[in-house]
Amino acid sequence: MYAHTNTALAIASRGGMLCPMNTQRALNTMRCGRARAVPSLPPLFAALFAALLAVALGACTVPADPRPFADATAALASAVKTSGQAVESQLRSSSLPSAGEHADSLHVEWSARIAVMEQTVAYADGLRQVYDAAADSSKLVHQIAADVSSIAAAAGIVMPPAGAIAGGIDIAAIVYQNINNARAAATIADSLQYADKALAGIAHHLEADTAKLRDILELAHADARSRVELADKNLDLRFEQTRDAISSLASRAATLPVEDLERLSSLNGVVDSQAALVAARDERLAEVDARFAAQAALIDAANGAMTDWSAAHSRLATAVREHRTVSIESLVQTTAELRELIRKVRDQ
Amino acid sequence: MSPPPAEFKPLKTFAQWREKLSDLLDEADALGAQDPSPQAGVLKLNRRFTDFQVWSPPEVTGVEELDSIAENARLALLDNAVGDRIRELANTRSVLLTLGKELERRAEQDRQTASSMRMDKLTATLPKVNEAIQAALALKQVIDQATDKDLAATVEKALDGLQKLRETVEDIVRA
Repeated sequence: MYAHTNTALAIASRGGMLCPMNTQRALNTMRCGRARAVPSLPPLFAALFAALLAVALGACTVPADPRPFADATAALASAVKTSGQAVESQLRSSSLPSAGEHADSLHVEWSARIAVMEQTVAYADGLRQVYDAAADSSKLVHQIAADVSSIAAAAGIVMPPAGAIAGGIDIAAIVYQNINNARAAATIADSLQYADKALAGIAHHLEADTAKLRDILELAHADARSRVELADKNLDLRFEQTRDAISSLASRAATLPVEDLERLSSLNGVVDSQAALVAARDERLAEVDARFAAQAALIDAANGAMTDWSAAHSRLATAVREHRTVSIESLVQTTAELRELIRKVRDQ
Repeated sequence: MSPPPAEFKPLKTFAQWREKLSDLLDEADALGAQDPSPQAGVLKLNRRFTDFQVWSPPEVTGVEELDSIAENARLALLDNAVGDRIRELANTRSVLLTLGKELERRAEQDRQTASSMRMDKLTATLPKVNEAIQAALALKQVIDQATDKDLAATVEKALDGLQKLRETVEDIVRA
């Protein structure tokens, strides 16, 4: 009898993608049954029945895991949002005649992109919810059983012995797990198929839009740089004129009259103070460039990730259709990079 | 600090600086006439308008006025280019929103499927049923042996439990 049971369990375990938790639970139920020998629904029978049922139900079709894709979608949405906010702020603080008007228009346009990315996050989250609901099916059955038992106890309904109930619940859990796995697999496959074209379209447009956003950032950055340089607009010219004068006097130092030597000494003081001003100005330019570099890196990463993201979705859809597994490791890596770049821009 | 660009180095007189500015303004007009204005060309010309102001000698009479014209032209050039990019963004907004709506509809379907798989309606009802039964049992016990004050409090509690159950069921029916 046990040999047959183990064979049935082994078949259940081998049947496609596995539900080791369920077979283990069935096995445990079987072992408990030996000790307790409950008459109404022998756990041994229950375990065997559960194992056979698992085979009959298609032995646990496990749905494709959409969680890495959902994580990448959330990171990408966050990158799109942060990029837009950074460029809007940069534009608003520029000296362009229509800076405020442009920033307001960009806000309207980019809010629409953020809304679309939020819809993609909701879509990916829907996939994740379906996957999680299937994964938690067995736990859910046990939770509901516990709730029903406590209602029965409160109402004074006499329940069968605990061992027998446990066996029945385990069967229900396996059945419900299988039903939900199949349902989740079908739902996720349908959704991936249905959404693939729309998602590719979104990625295509947002790739172009992030390129335009980068153009706007470059233009605002060019203005920010020019403003720093023009704040003391002839500094470089004066610095060069002073150095030329020093050079000219120094080349004739041995023959210079006293008044020119005094002038040379005075010019050395002037050039030092001018050099300090140039250094301070260059430091401000370096700050402007560093801010731009971080913002541009985030936009570039979001732009590059659009193609990966859309391709990962397509690969997932194809893999599910062809009952294959798929690696989206590069997307996981991209997600980590995006999060780091977002942190850098937000820390500015 | 970088040396003066070669195009500005030989300029000495007001006339030479004015002629250079005139050339730059012609180039700005040509760029502005393109839709959208080319990014690289705009950035390069912005650089040259800036350099014009940086290297034009203030001691030459009238140069300040030329600088002012150069600055206005620089700002107009960038402003126009930004406006072009924003208009381009506006052109694709409605297509994107339509695509987003498609995903939103699918997301709603998937959420409903997940909710059904989680048996949300059932799991929301069971604890309320339990509470209602417990309240009813307590009421039965109190009716047998308690004072009027205890009875009133327990009836209120029982009614409250039943009300919660009714609300839960109504929510489920509405959903």
